[in-house]
Amino acid sequence: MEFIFLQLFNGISWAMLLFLFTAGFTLIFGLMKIINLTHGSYYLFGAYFGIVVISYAKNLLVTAIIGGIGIAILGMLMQRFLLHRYETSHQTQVLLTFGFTLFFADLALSIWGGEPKTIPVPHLLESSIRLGGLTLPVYRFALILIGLLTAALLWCFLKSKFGMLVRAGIENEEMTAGVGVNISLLKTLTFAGGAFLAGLAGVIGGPVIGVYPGLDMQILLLSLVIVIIGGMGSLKGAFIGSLLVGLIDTFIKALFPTFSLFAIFFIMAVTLVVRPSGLFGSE
Amino acid sequence: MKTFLKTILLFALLGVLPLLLPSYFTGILIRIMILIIFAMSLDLLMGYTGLTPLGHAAFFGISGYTMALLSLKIFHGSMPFIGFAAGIVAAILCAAILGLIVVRTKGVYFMMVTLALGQMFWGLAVKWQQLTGGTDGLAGISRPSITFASLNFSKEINFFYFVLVLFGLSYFIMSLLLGSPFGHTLIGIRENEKKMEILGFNTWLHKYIAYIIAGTFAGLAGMLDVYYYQFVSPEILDIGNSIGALIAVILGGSGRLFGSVIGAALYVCLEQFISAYTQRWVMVVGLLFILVVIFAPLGLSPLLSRLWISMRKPQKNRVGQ
Repeated sequence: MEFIFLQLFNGISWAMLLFLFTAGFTLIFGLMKIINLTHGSYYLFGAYFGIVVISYAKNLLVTAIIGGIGIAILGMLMQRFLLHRYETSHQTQVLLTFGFTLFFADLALSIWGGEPKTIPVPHLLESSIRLGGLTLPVYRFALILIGLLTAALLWCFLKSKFGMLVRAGIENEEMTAGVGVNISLLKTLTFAGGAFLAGLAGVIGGPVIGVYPGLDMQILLLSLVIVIIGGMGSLKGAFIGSLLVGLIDTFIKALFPTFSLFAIFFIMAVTLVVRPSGLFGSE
Repeated sequence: MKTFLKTILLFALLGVLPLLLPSYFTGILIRIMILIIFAMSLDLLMGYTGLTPLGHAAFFGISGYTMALLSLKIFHGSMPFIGFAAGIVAAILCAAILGLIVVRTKGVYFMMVTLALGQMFWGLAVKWQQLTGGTDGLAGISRPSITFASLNFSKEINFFYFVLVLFGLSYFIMSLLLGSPFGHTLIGIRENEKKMEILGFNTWLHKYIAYIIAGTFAGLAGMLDVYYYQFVSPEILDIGNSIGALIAVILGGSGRLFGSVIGAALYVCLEQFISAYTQRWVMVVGLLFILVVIFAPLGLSPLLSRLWISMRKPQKNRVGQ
């Protein structure tokens, strides 16, 4: 019983971290129709960047925001100078961002080396709560809170005027531009927002899973599975998918560590057979 | 007929090359041929059917591992051709099962699903240590030999001809296939799937069969790769391996068989050349990939053929002016 509760707790906190990451990926696709496989590298660089920044800033929250902004700038540059030219061709986007993933992965390896690194847990959140026979670290509670908060904020954002403008721009770009909206600025900001989330996730995930080479692909892959299960571009799908993948990953890892990836992909395969466009996706 | 003769001539030339060049180049030629088979199998999907798999290394690795495990753990080096056949069958079976899931999807979904599935096999090879040896891999896989004909392929030069024959066969089968009504239907699906459906073609079945064929040839390439290095590790299931084939196809130009030949040759030569100078080969590959996608999305072979034409007909151009 205790085992189940502990894994449930760990699974939900892991799911929230995955959601934070996946939300950026799926929003960029949902709102701009851009597939950005560099998203995993954003996470990786966010985390490494966080390690550098925290030695000066000494505060995880400040570091997370600075890390997010740094990655947002990187994303903005990529969108502004490159990706916006290939808005109509998914294949080109995928290949291009795939190339960037390789480039960034090797760049990170050459700068920070192959040793795993971690970001220290902030003092304020270092303690744990005892519940029955369980010791639950406060930091993971904070992760769950941040994930829920982000979900709520994003939902509000999509309903807000800004969100409506972005969606209008996707539906009919010329018309929206015609009524005086600066579409290209809007797109760049949206892209930056998605990248910000990845960078942020990288920093606040640091104290839990650390940073190491290969993490970029690992996390990108889980989030690909999440969006395939939940449906591309759907925020609700990303949330439900994250919970599903986070929980299954945690439980299977605790029970049969060899087959954790296998189990996740099995769920993905089943979803594809039953609903090829995902639970909340539209054709 | 003329192109057929030309192709035969090219193969004959390739067969003579290792006799003329220092033995160092034999290995490079073998690696080029293996990558060409792999790239052609990818291009069948990418260039001809309009489906771009990002995890094509899955088949490469599955048949490689199947063959390696059989020859190491069950046959202990004897009866190599059973392992060889089993490797091919494993690739076919795997493609037939995965194809059922994957071919239902289109476009972006296809790319993402294949990437995810490809990574699954990589993860399995890394984590299932009792069977695969984990990241350490499995060593000591011997190259095949035909005892009754006293042909032993363990010597590199002999192995070269083994690969050459299989490469020639693959190229021949591929070009037959692509020239057949089946190949034309695939191109039709690439151009306009709805239209082909309305014309009465079973597009799903065509794509499914193309997927299985692609998996089979990728498996063949993977097995040859394991034979060549006499070693197998999760690296052959890695994304890096899938990307190698992708670059070879894009570099040469997708949708033309000879593009894979040019692309693969260029890629292996570049790797050989650049790794001699820097440890950062992966970074260079990433950059190369980005540059080719931006500046030569159709690959280098259209550029080369334009150059070839302008070199051959300079007189006519002048008359035209």
